[in-house]
Amino acid sequence: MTAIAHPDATAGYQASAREQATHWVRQLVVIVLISAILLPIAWIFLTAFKTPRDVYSISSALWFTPTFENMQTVFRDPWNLGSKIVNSLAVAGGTVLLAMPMATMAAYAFSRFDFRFKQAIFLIVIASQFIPAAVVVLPYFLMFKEAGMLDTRTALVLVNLSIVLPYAVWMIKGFIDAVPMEIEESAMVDGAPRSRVIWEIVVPTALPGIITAAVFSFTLTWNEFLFALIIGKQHALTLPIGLIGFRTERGDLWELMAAGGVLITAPMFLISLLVQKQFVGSLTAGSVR
Amino acid sequence: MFPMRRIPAHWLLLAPALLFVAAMALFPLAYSFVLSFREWKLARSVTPGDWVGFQNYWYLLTDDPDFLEAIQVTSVFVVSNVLATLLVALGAALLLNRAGRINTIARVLLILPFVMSPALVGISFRFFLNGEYGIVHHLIGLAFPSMVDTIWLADSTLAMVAVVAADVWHWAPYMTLVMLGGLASIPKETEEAARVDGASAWAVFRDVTLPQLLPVISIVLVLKTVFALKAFDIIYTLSNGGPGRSTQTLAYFVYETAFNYYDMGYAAAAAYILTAVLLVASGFYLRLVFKK
Amino acid sequence: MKRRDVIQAGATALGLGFQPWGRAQAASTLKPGKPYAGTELSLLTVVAPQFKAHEAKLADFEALTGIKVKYQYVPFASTREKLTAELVAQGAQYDLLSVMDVWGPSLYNLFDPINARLAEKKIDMVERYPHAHLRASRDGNGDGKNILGMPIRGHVQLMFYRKDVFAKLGIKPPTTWDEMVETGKTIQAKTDLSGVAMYYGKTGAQNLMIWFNYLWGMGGDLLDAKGQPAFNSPQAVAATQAYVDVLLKHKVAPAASVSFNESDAANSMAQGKVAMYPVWWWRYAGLVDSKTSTLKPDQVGFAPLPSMPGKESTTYTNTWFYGINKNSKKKDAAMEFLAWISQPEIERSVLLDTSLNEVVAMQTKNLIDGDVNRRFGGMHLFGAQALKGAKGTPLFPQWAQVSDLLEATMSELATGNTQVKPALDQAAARARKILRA
Repeated sequence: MTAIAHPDATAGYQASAREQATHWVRQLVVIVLISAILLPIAWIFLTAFKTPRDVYSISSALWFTPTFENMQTVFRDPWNLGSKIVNSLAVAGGTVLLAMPMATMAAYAFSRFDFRFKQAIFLIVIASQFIPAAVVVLPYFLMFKEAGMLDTRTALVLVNLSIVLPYAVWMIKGFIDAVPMEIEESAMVDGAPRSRVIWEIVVPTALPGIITAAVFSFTLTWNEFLFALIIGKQHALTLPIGLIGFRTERGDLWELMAAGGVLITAPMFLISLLVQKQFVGSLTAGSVR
Repeated sequence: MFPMRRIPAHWLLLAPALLFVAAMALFPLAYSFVLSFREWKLARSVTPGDWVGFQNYWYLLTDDPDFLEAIQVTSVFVVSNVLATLLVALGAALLLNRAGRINTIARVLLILPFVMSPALVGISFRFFLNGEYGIVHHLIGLAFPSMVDTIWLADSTLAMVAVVAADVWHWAPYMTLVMLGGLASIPKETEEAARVDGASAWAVFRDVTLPQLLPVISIVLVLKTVFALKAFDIIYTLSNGGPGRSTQTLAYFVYETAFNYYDMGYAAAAAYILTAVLLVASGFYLRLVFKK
Repeated sequence: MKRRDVIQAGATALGLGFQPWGRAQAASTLKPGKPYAGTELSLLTVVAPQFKAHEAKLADFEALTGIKVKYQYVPFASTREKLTAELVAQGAQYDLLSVMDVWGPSLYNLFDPINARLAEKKIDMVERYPHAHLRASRDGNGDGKNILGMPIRGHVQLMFYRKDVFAKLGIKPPTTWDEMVETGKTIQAKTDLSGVAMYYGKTGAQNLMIWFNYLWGMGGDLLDAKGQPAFNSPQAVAATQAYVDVLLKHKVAPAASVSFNESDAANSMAQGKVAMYPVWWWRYAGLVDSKTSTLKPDQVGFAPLPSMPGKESTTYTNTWFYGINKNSKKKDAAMEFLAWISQPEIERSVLLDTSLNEVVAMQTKNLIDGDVNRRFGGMHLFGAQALKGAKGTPLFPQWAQVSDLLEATMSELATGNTQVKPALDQAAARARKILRA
């Protein structure tokens, strides 16, 4: 029996039979987890390369003649997924870039200070997101119409910023809360200005939280549908609008939607690989040997 | 020059986010809140109609069986959804919080379900469950022969299971990432100290890890509750609120009332009842969280 | 080949939008001298092959008038929301808007009546359009004086069936609903196909479309003379029972029908799993296209929808119209477009375009046209016949809510978990409340 190093073990430690079994069970469960995530995605992937005739049949589930037509069709008229993806990236990216600094500062304030009405203000900020979008989207529409900003990506960034800020503040606050205050306090006693303390001490330690909030904000904006639908017309159409466009009178054109799904998954997979390094970094820094 | 030093630091830090949210959200929230006290049927008039005081609210709570059914459906949906997500996320995070090839692969994949548009997820799951060509329907029929003829979306319970499963598939992997972030912030020294002292894995988890995870768990809990309450696209595309109205949640009800029945004042009132519930719940939550 | 066919082929080959001899007539509906040259119009519409075919002809329109029309496609599933935003904002985001009859009454306030403009152009709507389609563009629940737009897309229901299977079994398409059940049983006994693809699932009131045929065929109706719910009358209960019994009692529909929507049923037919499919005629293209279907054109036959024994077919129709936005500043130019796009010649040329399989036609002249019927095997004559006795969607303001209620009821009834009479009684009670509001 080969020695399997226990992940938390020091050198020379030999795993007992029970620990080995636990290890394999863990691996198995992780594989089940991966399958649960991957199977639907894999199925969507397959669907993207099928003709509609093959999509709606079990017999051609795995054996079919692949076609690239769906991938091509979604970029053409009237779907134009290409420009929609670009818009989505711009709006989501812009929202995150603006949201993170604002949210981090606010989260720090909520976490480290005590002031009157703190709880109430925090509640109100979060509560702004409790209202179902269906009811506020029309007033937003009227607002942007007055400002002449309809059908602009800026309008979408502004709307999404107001949507994600409460969550970002909340999440980052949670992570800052978990960081003990002593380090900052001693640094400030030593004369460091608060801004430097935040930048050099708090932000790095709460980085997993900030990244989490960034990913969350990005995805929320990425998937946001109703505001984009109502505010957009021609120039500010985003990916979700494109995807919903595949729900036609004829029914749900799943093969085209799946093609859209493929176009989403591939770049996100790459982004996740990149961000993953951060997570692994923080994991190895503090935990696993 | 404006004496910056006179303004307490926390206001300066809060200002950007606070002012922005206030500026953007004030008009829409005020508008829709005021609207809930008026009657406005778009089919009749292009501008809001008469003031009706609390009549919309009154009708909703006492005279609208659809609304009450929606509340029931929502409770079932939210509770099962949140619990399932929490358990899956926590379990998965603990599993994946180690080095190892497979774990790294898993962690990279975790973001993928979340970035799929909810509508895409809903439609895909609908196709997976289709009685004639759905792959999940087929596989379940192979594994459990008694279910080979079950039409998932025709049974109120199974339809609810499907809707919850779809939403959990969409969110739980991401919540796992959040939990992983939380686990990463826990100083490993305390865990090691406890283990060196001879505590079992379970005891370490219960007495050391879990308490330090509580802030993150509460984030996941509340976040998922809010989004479960707002979930619309995924239900709309998966089951369309059916069969009958068995998967028609409050969010669905509000949407239909506004954009299908064009009853704007009524929809606003329903939305604010939902908001009131959330406000009360989060009031309790905040009391917990702000206690240091 | 007949001389007309040759000219037609030539015209199509040259990419001309419509028949040469029709061109003179086309130009006469437009104002001479290009008075609106340089205007840009924006039309909110949905993706449909018919509209795409129209869009391909816009260059002709621009050449004739100097007006540029931009088709702004909105997801079909989200059109209501966009129209609501337009209505609330009272804006002019779009100069022309397309509306489906089921949404119509709630959105009347979007449009300016075009009666005067129609008179100016000497367009006789009653001559042009069957009553069932024209009423969708009138206000006042379909009976009003004002015409709010040009009907542009209209459908009738047909029964599609597997010609090859029927031929092999020596049976004919059913003429009554009872016959349909019998035919279904025969097919299920002798082949491994299911009888008829029904769709009872809850999606966009699709499960009511065939139900209406049963309801009206059996003498029931949605509302009575006083405008109160009548769909729990004895006839309506019987009709509903017969409707769900196709699946529940006779089992001649696939088991999955209970959750099918219209397109699931179409796929079932296209995959060769079912022998009959009662649906809108425009589904024809999808059933014979090798990309979407395993069936070939000679396998797909069509017949008028069955009726109740001894009675005329009472089909249900669906109509879209294009209307001019009340707040548009370019109404005159918009009317030019409406007049042009709605010419019979344009509709006819799309129908005869062999690169498409587009069957949608709504103008009486085209429905009885010889060339059109030759191409589609007489489908349009069926259509014209059906339209005589057809009733369109109910056009009262609360229809959206009542339809939602009925659709939920139907989907539940099809599961077999509730009984017809109590369910309809309950629905009627709720509808009464809705109608009071």
